[in-house]
Amino acid sequence: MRRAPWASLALTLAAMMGLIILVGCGGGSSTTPITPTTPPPVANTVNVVVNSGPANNAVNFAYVSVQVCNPGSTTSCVTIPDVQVDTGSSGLRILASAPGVSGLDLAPVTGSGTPVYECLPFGADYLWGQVEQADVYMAGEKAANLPIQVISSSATPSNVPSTCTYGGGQNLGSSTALQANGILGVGTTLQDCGSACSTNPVSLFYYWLCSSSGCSLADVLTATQVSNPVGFFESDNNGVILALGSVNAGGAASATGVLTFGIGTQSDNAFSSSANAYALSLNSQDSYSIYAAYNVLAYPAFIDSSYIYNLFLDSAAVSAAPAGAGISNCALNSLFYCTSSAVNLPFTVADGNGNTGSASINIGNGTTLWNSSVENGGSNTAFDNLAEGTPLGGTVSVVLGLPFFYGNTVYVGIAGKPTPTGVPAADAGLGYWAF
Amino acid sequence: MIKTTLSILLVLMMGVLPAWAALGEYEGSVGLDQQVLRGEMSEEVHTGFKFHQIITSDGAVIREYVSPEGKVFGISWHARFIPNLPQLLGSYFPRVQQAAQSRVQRREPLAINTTDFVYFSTGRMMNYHGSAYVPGLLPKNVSAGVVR
Repeated sequence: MRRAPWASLALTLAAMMGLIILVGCGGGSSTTPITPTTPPPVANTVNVVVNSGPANNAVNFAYVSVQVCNPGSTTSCVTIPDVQVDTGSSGLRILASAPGVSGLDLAPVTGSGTPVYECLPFGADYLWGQVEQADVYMAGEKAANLPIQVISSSATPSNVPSTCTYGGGQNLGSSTALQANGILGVGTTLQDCGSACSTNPVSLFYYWLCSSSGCSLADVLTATQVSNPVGFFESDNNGVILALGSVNAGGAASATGVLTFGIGTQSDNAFSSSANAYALSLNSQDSYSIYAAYNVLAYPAFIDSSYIYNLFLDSAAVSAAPAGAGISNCALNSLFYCTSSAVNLPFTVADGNGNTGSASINIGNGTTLWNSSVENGGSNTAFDNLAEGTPLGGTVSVVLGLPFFYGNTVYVGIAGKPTPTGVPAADAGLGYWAF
Repeated sequence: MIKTTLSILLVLMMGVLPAWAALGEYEGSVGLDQQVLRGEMSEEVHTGFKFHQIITSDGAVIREYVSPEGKVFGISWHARFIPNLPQLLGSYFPRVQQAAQSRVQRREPLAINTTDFVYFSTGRMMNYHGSAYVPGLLPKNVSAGVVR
């Protein structure tokens, strides 16, 4: 039987200490170390917590800690707490104002010597900050020289490009506004933009070169775009598994869970035989999604842990099917769903590769739930039954947000990476979600 | 290697936007939108309304819905970067700003559901979509659901 190097080290130590140790792997009188055929397991899980966050104002935000180091250093590091786990985006983004970050000396990504900045809009609000390279550590995993976004550092030009404010919203450059110290994007892509931001001329307004004279639109090679740390880990780099514990129908003050790196790469992250994988494909709205079928019609569907509620069609569409009877918007100007009694709404999940399955979401009384939250002086931060609809006439799609993750195990497979046993290789072309 | 580009489009965007936006305006303003957005335009006629569709160089699809009276009653979009909503929403854009600046749940989709203006905008990187309409301008016998 082969003996690992540490076994002979242990023997040597034991001999030096004058102790006798019986090693139970017989026939081993040789002291020549033999290289093991498989590396020792790498710690690949981090704890997840749902609580009110760094500014005590968050509901349904799932947080982890992330260690960020100066490139090449194992001592000039800072561990940033309260970084939101986001399965709907790719890339690590940290607030320059987060604890300890100002003491780091990261390596700016530049173009022709000019620093690269990035604007990331959401539906209304936006992030604006510099792209820099760092060594990123989580559990036993490491992503070296990873381009990350450092939000609103002192060097960041205050003149945000006007295209960044097209949504009319706020700059999320503080922990109060972001409701987190950063975002850990562990989505289905390696980079946040990809080839659309590396071609010249570039037509999307994400990346900029900024000097004292102003900012100009930049095309940035994919290798230096803000990147999904998981895809660049040395091992366990084909995706993540996010599992959160259950919460009661009335909500909870906190919840816990686990974020696991790699799918089917170690003994602790096998693809469950009870899970169904759904491959992303290009939908009619020109984005990549799976589908949710409800009451005959199929809608583009996304799995996004950064959504604090499940976004499921509109109240007229939901209440048109028997299972959704009685659901309405909580008030005229509210899109939260309200019900008189708890509803478990089933729907069919499908993808472009012919995979189908079933799932359901819980819908409670949005007004009652919200009134019990930290947003309204209550203590609750975790709800598995918070749901909202688009206004009638809005573009319809389904987003399975953080409520969907409670009591569930959700897999996020990165595009182009090897699939685990149980997921066809063809499903990984554009990435997959499984649950 | 990183190269810089600065398109004519940007020069236009950086300037002060004149009040030529489309929602609630007469149909003629659609052409101005097309010029500003630099897209290919087509038209589709339905019973009781029509829409102009602008497809921009980066693949954004923007629809402007026009009533028989010639007014733009609705807008919809899906795009890989959030489109020029100040331009498309015109006098309604301050309503969006007001709602967006005052809310607490900031990164979520923004919805406005009032009697005179209905709006929904959601986005994550490379995937933005939304719509807006003016209930008072909806043509007779046309459902708001057509705006999508």
